[in-house]
Amino acid sequence: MRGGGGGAVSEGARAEAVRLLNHALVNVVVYSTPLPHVLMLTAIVVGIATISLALSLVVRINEAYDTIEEDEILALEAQS
Amino acid sequence: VSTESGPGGELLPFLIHHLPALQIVVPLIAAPLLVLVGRWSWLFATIVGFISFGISIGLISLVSGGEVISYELGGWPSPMGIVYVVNEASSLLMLVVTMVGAITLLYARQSVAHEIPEDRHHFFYAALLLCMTGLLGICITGDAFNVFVFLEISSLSAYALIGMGSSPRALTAAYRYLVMGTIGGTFVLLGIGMLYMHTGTLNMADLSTRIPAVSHVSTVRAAFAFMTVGALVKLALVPLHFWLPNCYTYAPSVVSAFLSATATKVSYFILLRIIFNIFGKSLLLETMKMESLLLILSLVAIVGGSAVAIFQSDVKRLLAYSSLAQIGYFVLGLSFNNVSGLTGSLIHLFNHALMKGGLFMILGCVALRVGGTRMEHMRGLGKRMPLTAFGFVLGGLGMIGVPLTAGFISKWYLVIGAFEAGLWWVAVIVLIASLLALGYIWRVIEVAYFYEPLDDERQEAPLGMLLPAWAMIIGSVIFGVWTSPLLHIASGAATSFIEVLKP
Repeated sequence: MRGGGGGAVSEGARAEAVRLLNHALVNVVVYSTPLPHVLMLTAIVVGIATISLALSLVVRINEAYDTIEEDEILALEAQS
Repeated sequence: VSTESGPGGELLPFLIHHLPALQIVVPLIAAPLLVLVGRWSWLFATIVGFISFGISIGLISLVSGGEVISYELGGWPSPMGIVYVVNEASSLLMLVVTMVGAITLLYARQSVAHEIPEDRHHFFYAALLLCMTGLLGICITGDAFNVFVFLEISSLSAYALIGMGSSPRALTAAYRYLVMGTIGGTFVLLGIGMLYMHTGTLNMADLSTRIPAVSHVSTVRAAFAFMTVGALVKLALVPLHFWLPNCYTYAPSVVSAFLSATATKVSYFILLRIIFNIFGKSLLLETMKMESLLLILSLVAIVGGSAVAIFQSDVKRLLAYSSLAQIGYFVLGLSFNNVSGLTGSLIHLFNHALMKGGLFMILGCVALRVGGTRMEHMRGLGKRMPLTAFGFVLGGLGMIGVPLTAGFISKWYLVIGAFEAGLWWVAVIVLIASLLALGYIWRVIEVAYFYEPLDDERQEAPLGMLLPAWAMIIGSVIFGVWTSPLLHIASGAATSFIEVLKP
């Protein structure tokens, strides 16, 4: 099996290995840092929490004032 | 220090080593447990509050000699992982938060039973503990993004707490605060994002070493502007204060006492860390002329807040405007850019927490027995509830800054700071503002002692509320006479901030 053509095969394998190695090196250099993703996810979670709290406050405001129009609420508050 | 010495070894050194983490973890874990258990919520929350208070006393005694504890969460080394930093400034702030938190929780049982429906009590205490967790986290963390996360934890629970007020106007006040607070929080987040873009780090100590090299870049300057304005919104410095008076007026008494004594202080601490710890050694303060801007805004807040307070018909709202003036005093000490001024600010921060927390607690007693906190409810309070009324007088003297009360010491250091900065006319304005404070406190005292009560009913507030309120008031008198320990810690903290500023 390891005849005269063996050298040529190993030359090809070496070229392939070098190509793969370069590919790997390139991919190692252009990696993506997980930190911004984590930051964005956290900010999104905080945003969802804020919006749901705001909406629940809006529901309560609607129950208390029967309206969610700001000028009507301000008029009601000015009366009391 | 190795973190592998588990509970199998000596328990006490293990606990002491992990105190910085326990300070945050204990109230954070307790809050959801409280919701799950649902019963005995007041007792549970109060025990947790006092455990936190004990932990922060332990932390401040560990660092009072000027040491700095750096605690690496999960064992990740400093620039990569999140690090908790306990120094004199952060331990002082945490002591204020946990002390006020513990005393407020002690006070809360009867006040909350009166003002909040029974089925929401456990949610109320859980939100209060979460708010405390967030405020403590802001103080202790050494990671810029972590500040944002804790800021939102404390803010979200504060919105919920304010919304639990009995008046429907509490809902609109909470909503307005939510909108303003979210804008402020988002500004801080945007600033942090810009800094990360240019420096590739979120650790505050790491940021402060990398920023000088890029401080000329306009993105970094924009980050500074965003973060400062965001912190000022949360601090409610005039002209960004419009959310504050309604929140303090319509929130439940317990929440007014807790938030007025802690939330603005911690926001002020965020501002200090942004200016000194993050952007510290660069010349942004000098090139942007921040001092003169802060000086003008703080003087407007001091004079305007005190003057508007005189004309309020609701005493809670009066105290809220007085708080705006006190926020001005904090920022005034910062704007002098010297150690005496900042020492004055930090002492005032501690003293104001005691005085204003105590005054709001006194008003909670009035609300419980008389049914409201408007001026007409204060009529004849000196006869009707003598101890409560006299507590207001003592706390009020502190707000004016009469010698032998805590308010005098802090104003004294602020005036020294003004002279050191060559601004003698600022000392005159501080004096005038103290006279204005005399005006609004006198109005309440006059109605309480020289007007006849509306009816003959005479009933003092329950001891469970009166004792904590008096503990705060007496504390403010004690720290007005026995000044050395607080002065020692505050001047140490102020020196560490200012020395970072001057490379």
